[in-house]
Amino acid sequence: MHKPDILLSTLFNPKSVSIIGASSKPGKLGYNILENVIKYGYMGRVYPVNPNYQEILGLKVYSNISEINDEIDLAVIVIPAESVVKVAEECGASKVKNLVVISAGFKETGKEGAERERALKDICKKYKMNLLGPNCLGVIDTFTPLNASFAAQMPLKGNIAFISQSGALGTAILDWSFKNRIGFSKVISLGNKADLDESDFINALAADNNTKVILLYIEDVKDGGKFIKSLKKTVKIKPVLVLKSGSSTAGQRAAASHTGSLAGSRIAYETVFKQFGALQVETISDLFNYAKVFSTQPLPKDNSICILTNAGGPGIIATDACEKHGLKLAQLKNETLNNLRERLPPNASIYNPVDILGDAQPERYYKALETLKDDDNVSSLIIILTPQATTKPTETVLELVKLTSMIDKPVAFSLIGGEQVAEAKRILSENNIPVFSFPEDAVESIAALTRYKLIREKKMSHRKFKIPVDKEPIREIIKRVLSENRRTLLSSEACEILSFYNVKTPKVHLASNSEEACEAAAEIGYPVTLKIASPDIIHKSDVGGVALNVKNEEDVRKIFIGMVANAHKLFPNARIYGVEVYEYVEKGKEVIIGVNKDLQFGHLLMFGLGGVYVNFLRDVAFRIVPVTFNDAEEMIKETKVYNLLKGVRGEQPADIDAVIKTILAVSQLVEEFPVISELDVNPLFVYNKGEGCIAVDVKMSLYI
Amino acid sequence: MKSLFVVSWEGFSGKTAFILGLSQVLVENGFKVSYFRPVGRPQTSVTEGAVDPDVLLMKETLKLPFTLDELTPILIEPNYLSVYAKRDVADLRSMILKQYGKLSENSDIIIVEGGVSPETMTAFNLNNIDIAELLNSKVLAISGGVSDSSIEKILFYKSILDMRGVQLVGAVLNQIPPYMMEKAEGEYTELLNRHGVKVWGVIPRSYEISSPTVRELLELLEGEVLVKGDINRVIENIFIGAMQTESSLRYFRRSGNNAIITGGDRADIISAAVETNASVIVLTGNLRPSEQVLVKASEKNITVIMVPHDTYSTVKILEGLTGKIKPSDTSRINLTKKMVYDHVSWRELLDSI
Repeated sequence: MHKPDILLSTLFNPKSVSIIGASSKPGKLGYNILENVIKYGYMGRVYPVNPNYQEILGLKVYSNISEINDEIDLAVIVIPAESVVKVAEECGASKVKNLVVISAGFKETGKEGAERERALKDICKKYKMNLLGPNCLGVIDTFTPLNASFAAQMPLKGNIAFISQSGALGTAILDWSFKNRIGFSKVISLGNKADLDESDFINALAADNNTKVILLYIEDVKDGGKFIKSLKKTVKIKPVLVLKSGSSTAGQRAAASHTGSLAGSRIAYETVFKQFGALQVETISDLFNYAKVFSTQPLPKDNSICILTNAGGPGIIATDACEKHGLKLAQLKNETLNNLRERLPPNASIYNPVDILGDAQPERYYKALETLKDDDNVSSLIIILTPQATTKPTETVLELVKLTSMIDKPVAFSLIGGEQVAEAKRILSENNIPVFSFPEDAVESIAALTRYKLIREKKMSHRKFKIPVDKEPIREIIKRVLSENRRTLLSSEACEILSFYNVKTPKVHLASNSEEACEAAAEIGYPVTLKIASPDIIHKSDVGGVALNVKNEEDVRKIFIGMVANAHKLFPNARIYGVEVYEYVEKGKEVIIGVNKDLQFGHLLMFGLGGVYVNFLRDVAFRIVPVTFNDAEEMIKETKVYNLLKGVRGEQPADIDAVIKTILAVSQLVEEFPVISELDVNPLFVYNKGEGCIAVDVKMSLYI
Repeated sequence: MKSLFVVSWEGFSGKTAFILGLSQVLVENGFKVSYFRPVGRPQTSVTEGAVDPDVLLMKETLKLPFTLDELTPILIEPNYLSVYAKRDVADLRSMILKQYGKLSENSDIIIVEGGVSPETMTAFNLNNIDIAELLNSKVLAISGGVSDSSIEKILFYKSILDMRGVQLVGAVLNQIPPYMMEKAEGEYTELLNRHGVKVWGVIPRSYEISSPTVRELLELLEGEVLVKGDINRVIENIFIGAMQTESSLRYFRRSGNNAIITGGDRADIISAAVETNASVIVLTGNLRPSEQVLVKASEKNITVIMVPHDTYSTVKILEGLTGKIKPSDTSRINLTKKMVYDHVSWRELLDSI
């Protein structure tokens, strides 16, 4: 058997291709695919297979793959679904290395199809064949060149790789790309992702010299952990731009109905993209706008930008967009300013945005750009042109193209207009210079490129903070909870578990009657806090299940009886264990640390403003577990509560280091005990710097 | 011949399951066991008439060669006081004695199951205590779901039995939730012992025995089964899936063995139910979900049923869902036997009779 081919080179650049189900009838997929392979210049050996023909398009047709006396790198299967499994088995026996199954009629159609897909997958596993699809459009490599798809055309050659979970979107984009002169290195239609998935292709494309930027359209990710690994590796080499659909509530429902399974939550996807360096875009147009810039422009030094324009309004609009997207207007050097002053008319604005006025002719644009391009304070450039009475768009652009090849910074054009700038736009596109109609698009794309520069430079922190923990007592608690047929821990149990991870929690005793409650309170010392103890009552304070600052025995007794009676009344079916008696703790700044288990990516850790308003203010940041020291620091800084912790209006700063430690402890806990599906520390009271913090209320649920 | 009169002073104590388990244990150990329920509670069925399902269960399990009428001569129907007002009390009593003699013939032990509630048939001198006295049978009290009041009920009835000269051989504390086990085995057992009530067993609550199964839900709802999964799974919780996608996962994860009621158009909720391994999914309003959704359910062997009712009506119907053991339910019948072996000192109990 062959070695695993991580680069998928025998798929993208096969020495031989067999089309199983080739047809001689134009209009049938089996014809289109064979025709595409031949027509677009594939140089390897081509073997059509179909028992009903002798010859198609001048090629000898075989009745079965086993008859071909050659090693087959790639077999494209385009026959009715019912026969695919059998044919795949034959391919396996003939040592085919890659299968692309175009045929539909698998998981997407119901139970029978799902069984068929499983059988197909098993066969590919057995023979160690790679499988793309089923139910896909095929695969295109413009460098090989190979067009093993039923797309109507061959895309232009370029350095963008496009991976699409939707076949239809793939074909539509190809058609659109001609008009916009966007070229591709590879186009991959994922189909049902029975075997090869987005992560496999990201890995392969990371190492592909013909690909400069990876574009991804997905509805879900097949394997969360694998996806994260592939991103971690790839984003340091080249950018990955992702459009993920199904993020709205209705979209999620539609996706569930389409695929039969729940994708991870929107927040989890956004967190993964952000945390592991994929650039998420919201629209198809952003995906390709960004790609235009990413595929042609170098990375900027930093976020300082210069705007060159022949109109004030668009210049200001671009300036606003810069601020919104995190770019700052470069402070031009004195030398530059002097130069501009000399070369531009006196009423031109030489400060950034540089406005060279409505009557600017090609030479004036040229002179201005020539000056600006060498200013070290400028990391990227946006050139805006509006067709005014004397403007010569085409000539201007021709003039500027002479300069752009000498600029080693990202440049993007915004040519506002229609007919008058059409020719100029075409010229720029042909010269691989990104051009947009409106300045905001140009700014946003440059901003994305700047963000990518940061991603690339960001040091991945490997330093993991590990507390040595004796896991046995925690296992015991979990075992006991499960043996009692519960999934929710009592606060006292949850506190105990956290305390093994060096998180400070208040003293707490469970009391099953009022007498015990008084004894517990006496032992802990007054005042105490009382909370109803029931795994079935989650939001205790909503139902009068929390009493703060209880000062004496008489009150403890009274409150115990009232609280239990009230709980029985409001939750007749709840298991009421009694009341938990807590040590009173001094109030601090309230933050929350929460964990929820996402279906796709595992534990998702949240930090933010705590207390009862957490659900309303939503001042929170997320990370996928395990959380590193840097992550913890970053996520605190992302929230507004960070400013509170730093201290406002002369307050003492809070103990942020203790908060970081607690975040890391919680991350380590759920990593070591993945059975914990939900965890909430709310509030965590944070005291002044050096005085630590305490997990006042801890909720924990298990899911096996 | 030994005669054991098993009574309970509260509903849903698991008395039938206990008797079922005990009688199997005795049979397995070579005893000839008979059964009698002088006063039964029938469930009317159009096809079979008035039948006490508990009695039917015992008849089938012990393979008793008697008719249901013989096994339970008096059935409590609505307005039973008027019905029996015309009967002669002495006649009724002698009929019960005669029947008892017939059933107990050739057996080593006869288990007499007490009537519906402690006061039933007092008007005819045929309540539990009267009959125990009449049959000269020894009383065993079963309490279910331990609490202060259920313990005191045992003591209260003991004081009455003492006055009547009927012997209480002890008690079995049944269906104890895990967090009460320690208290039941310690404090409560000691308290009962101090008052002369021997505790023969403390039995933890078993959801496998007491919870309804998917099969029972299907019988009750009579909808269209879209996916037939494992219908022997138990149902412990019923959820209405009307929340947002992401909260649904959190809710469903917090408990096991869920029945999820939702609309067929809520593919997200159905998927969350499948993902969290629900016992059964009930789709209301006759809305059929997409095939892909059903495939996932069938891959996980989860039953999906579609009903014409709206959610409220469906929940209303499901209020009638109880875990009654049926003669065909061999796995649960076996569990009751295991329960007695594991948690009841049955041999000592037998010796004390």
